[in-house]
Amino acid sequence: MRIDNSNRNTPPLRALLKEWKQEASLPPRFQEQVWRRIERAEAAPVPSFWLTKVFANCLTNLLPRPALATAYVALLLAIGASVGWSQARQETARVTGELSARYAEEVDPYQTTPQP
Amino acid sequence: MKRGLTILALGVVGAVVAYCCVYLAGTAKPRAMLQSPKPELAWLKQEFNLGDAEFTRISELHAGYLPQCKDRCRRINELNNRLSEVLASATQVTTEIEKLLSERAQMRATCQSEMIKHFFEVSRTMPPEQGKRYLAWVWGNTCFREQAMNHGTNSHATTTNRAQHP
Repeated sequence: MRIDNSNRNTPPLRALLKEWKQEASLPPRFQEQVWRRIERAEAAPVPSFWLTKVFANCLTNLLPRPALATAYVALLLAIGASVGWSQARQETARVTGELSARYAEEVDPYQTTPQP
Repeated sequence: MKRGLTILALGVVGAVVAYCCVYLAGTAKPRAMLQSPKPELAWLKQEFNLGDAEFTRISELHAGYLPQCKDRCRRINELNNRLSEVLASATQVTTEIEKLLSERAQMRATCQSEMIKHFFEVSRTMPPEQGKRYLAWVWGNTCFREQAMNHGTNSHATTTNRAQHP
């Protein structure tokens, strides 16, 4: 963000600065130095995070390579399929166990359900 | 940068699609069982690889067995209630108590014997190998499994033989 410096010599600002009373004397060319420091700070590049830089670099230079892109997509497909398979097995086992227990309860009145 | 982002998104979308496809394919059978009119019988069909004719016959056996079983349970419960009433006012074993105990034991024995008959009938309806598997399963998962007698401090935790249909 840049600050508009065109107001630095406007009459209201000067009047305001004149009103400001101070005992200690300012160093020579103090006002000029302050503005110079502001300008330097504005001109400095915005600090970026290292990880963001690396990520952006990967996106721009590494990922578009055909071999790497294929490997990346294949890896994610494999991860998705593996998790899906694992969850499906768990769900199947749960439903099977539940239904077999229901069958046993239906045909066997001596079947005891666990007390809470 | 744009190409990289596209590939990144493609990977994530691909993973989600792969997950959904494999999950839906893997849970197709249990979902079909749950949606059937009698899920527990659908489980029996799937577990013991029954054909349609066998499944129809077993469903008929099941439908014929349940009302009789429920009737026996009702009679056992009636005997239990009568026994409780008599025990509440008794100070020693009377002939009535002995008679009720004997009747209840007889009814329980009949109930279990009819249950075993039903299991044998069902197993005979299945292909021989599956029939054996079925019998092994019912002996292990019903009241006929071996249960240790318990006289210890944990006697309160033992299960009671209540005749109760779900």
